[in-house]
Amino acid sequence: MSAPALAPPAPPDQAQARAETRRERKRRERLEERDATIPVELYGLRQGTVTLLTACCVLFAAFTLVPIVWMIINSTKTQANIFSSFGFWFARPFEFFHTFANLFRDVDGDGTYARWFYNTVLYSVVSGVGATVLAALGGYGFARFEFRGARLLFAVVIAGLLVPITLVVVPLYLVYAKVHLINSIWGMIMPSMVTPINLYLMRTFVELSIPRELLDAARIDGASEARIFFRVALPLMVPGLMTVLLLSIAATWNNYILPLIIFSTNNLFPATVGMGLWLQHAGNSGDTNLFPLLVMGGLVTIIPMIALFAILQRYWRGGLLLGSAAN
Amino acid sequence: MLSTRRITRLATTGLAGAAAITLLAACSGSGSSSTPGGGASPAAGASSATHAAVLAGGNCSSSATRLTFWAWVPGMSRAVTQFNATHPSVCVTLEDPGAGTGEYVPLNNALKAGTGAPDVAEVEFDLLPSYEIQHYLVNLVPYGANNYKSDFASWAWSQVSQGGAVYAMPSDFGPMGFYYDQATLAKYHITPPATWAQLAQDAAKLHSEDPRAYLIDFPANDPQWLMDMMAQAGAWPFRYSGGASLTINWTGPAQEKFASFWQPLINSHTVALITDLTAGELTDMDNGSIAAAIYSAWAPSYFAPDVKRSMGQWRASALPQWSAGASVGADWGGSTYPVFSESKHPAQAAQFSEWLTATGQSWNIVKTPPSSLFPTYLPTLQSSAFKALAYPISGGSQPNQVFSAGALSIPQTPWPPFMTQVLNQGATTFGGVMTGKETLAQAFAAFQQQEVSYAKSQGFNVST
Amino acid sequence: MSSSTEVIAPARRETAARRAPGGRRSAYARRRGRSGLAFVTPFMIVFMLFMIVPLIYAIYQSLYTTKLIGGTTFSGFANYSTVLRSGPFWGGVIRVIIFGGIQIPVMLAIAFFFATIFDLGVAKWGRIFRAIYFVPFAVPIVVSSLMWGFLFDPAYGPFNRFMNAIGFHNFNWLSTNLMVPAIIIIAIWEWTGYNSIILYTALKSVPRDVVEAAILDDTPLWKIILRIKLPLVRPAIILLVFINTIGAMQLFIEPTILNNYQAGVVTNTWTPVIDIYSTAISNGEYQLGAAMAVVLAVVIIAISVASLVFRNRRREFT
Repeated sequence: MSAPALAPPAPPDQAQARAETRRERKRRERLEERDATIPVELYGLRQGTVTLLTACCVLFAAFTLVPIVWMIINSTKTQANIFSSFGFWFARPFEFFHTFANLFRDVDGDGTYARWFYNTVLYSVVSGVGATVLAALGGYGFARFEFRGARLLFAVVIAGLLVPITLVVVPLYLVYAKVHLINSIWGMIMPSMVTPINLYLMRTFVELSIPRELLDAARIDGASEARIFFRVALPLMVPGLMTVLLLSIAATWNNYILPLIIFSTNNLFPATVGMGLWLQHAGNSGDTNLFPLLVMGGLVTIIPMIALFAILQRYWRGGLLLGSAAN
Repeated sequence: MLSTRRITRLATTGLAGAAAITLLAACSGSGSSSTPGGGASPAAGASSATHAAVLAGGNCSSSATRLTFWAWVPGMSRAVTQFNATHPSVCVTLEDPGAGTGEYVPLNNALKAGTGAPDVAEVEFDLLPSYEIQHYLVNLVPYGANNYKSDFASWAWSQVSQGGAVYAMPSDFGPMGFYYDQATLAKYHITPPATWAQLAQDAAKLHSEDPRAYLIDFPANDPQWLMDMMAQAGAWPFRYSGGASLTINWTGPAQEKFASFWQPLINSHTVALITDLTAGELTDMDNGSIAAAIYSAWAPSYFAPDVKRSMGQWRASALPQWSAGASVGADWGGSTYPVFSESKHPAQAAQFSEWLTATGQSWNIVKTPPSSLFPTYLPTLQSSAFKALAYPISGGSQPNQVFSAGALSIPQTPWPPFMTQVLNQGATTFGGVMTGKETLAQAFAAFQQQEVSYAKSQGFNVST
Repeated sequence: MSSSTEVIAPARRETAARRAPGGRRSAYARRRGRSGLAFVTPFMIVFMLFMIVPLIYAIYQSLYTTKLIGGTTFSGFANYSTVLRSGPFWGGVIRVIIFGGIQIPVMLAIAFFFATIFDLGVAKWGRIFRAIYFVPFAVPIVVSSLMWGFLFDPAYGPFNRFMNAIGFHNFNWLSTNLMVPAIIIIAIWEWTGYNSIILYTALKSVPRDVVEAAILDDTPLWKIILRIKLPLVRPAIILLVFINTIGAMQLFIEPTILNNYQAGVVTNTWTPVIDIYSTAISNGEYQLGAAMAVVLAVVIIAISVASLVFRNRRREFT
């Protein structure tokens, strides 16, 4: 197609093309949002209301950030200073890097934070991916197929929402004891993969975003169900998948009760349980300075989640919208 | 639109790839690499177990009898290595599942399930009856345990015996004393009290001079500590010697007398009321807000890491007495090493347990840091070298002189066979005393009811 | 509710039309149904194994009792009788009901307030604030309890020092009387952002023309918010009340962690889940714990259903 004499045009720089699109996209979204919002002036508000309300927002933002700021500041202090110095400003000596390095050591036989962090990542990612796969398949199946017992099965899953955690975790522990699944990572991962909310969200999403006609057209064309799922449905389900993935990862990342009950081996604890243990032991048995580690560990635990949510905000925003609108 | 899909596809593939990698890693490594316990040097050939951190063993001849041993004492691997070296026909593998409940929970599960329990494990004195009643322990008398009877402090030996049987070998314990910061005491012109009455006076004096300081802490919500104190006061609330009958008495005259001694001190806040063995308490002790503590022989090695300002100032003195001139001791904690009935090699397991607790060889190792165990084994306990041990936190004084003297006069403490429940319930029931919600006597009365009803629900014949 | 039914209803009519006149499904539809079953099977299998089986096992176990003397025997409803007569257990239930009864409305009110502000755009920098408010959702409850525990610590925490500085001596945020309010503050911190984002996205889906019409009618702002927007986001509010109630009834982590900062206030029956944990795991009385969990489940279901019915009947936000 191109004239042979001319050198073919240099392929546009991939990264640059993507970056521009992202910026453009953000700009477009912001403009859309502005257009969608009814201009404030039309509400007929008094002068200064905007300022007052902004001030309220600032206050609540401060409330939200107070503990985080406290953590950041106190992760740099020694244990003695955490107790005695003013909570919201720094104090010498500056121990941030020393404390951070200690996260990788088993400071006194109570366990290594780095190990717990690794466990948290492992459990969250594996169960998050697993949960998404199961919820995607299940949501698609419930939303776009009729079969005997479909309604009953779905109702059973939703009823699971009403069941308190302990009613599942405690007997899960007993069952595990019988089948030697105590202290098995799968004992933690499998139950985390079947939260009822995920199925509900995916089913709702599929119902709202995949028209039956599309599927029927593909069927008429002779495609197998599997092919339809992977080629037609799945690409349309991506925002929902992202939501479920993020929510699952977050839920497992933050889970405390399940690993508390089914793990008795220090090496398998996720960060939540490990830090709970540290808090109990802080000061015991010749412990050295667990409190700075606790503060630092808490900080390190929350950063990946905040980053993950920030990076992938586009997706879960849309997902939450569907979750709330289509009840 | 196209670029959006590309981003999402990349994101999804990326995530899937990461997940696949983690999944592979999870399957192959079974998710664990051992982290050696604090200070322990891994023995040659230390291998990773799928569960707890394996600290020693694994490098044995193929014909050796293999034993599994669970313990959380730091530095225990040194003793195990020594045993393996001197007993080539037995190969002991040490695992550290964590202290206390970290070990007891998997241990109990394994015993209930019938498989997976170690041959020997560290079990504290107060929990032995709980294992005995469920017939989880091997009687060591047929394996020569009684040969060692005279080598042990009588209190310890009575703790591990029930009927004519011996269910564990006693190891370390914690005779109690008055452990004080001599500089602080000197500041208030107080000498270590010889009687509890004297202590009450001294506490009032100190607190009136400085309302923010206390002579001692009274941790009512530590049931074990409380009961140890009651034993010394002749107010031990349980009577149990195996079987289905037991006596529970928290409201008798001795117990009321005990409660009415401490209540005025609590009411006037002359004693500190914070949970013991916490960073808060240790900080207070270090900076002089709490001048002394009714602690035990393991206090020096326990405090050392948290002490800054008062390094070198801590001294031990005999436990205050209820009547002048008496010398009744008390014990706080301690461990034993029983052999479990699930064990396939009880003879060798018994041999190991006896070596670990009743030989000078073993004690020369475990009495030193990082283990720093305080022996029930008399030859070591009463050796002048041991009594003369110095600790940096105690300056030039020899606290072990005091503690080993108190070791021989500890009154009987027959624990009930459901100590876990006692500790759990006690922490709650006595917790209210700390906040002034109820008096110690009221807490005792409530606890009496709770324990009697619990024991009855478990099928015991309960007398009060 | 409305939007999803609109989508589903026509689909259902379609399928009905596709059925053979005799009422039986065509082979085509049956084969398709089987595929559907295949799609949901993975989820259902894992769900059955890891949720339903333990549930049934729990109920089964709750009918037995294991005694130290006497072993395991079938005890029928004896455990349930013990639970129903247990004063401390029901004290814990009352406590979480009070906790939820205060925390949920307050939190939802705050969340709705901010969601409305963002939706209307009547405050500056809405995006930034929304991002900040969402941060607590990324924080595990254990960590937030840890942080707030430090802040509230009776001996060394900055909040107590502040109270001392302004004249309230010996103030203890974690004392017996203030422990529940302290946890309410923590819960509000943890959940308001999440709830406000959900309400915000729900508010955003309110049709623009309805609001514009109201503005043209000179309706005051507060009326627009309360009479027009609020009813239209009722489904979201109902969902949130539902989720928050279930969460509040299962309060466990915050008091357990705070117990380390102030001894003696959080007892081992302070909340139902703490009681269950203490009974089943700490004391080893699994069967009694299972019975407790079943009773708690019934209570939660009752309260959730009651609150839904209550809302439906009153037809407006409390």
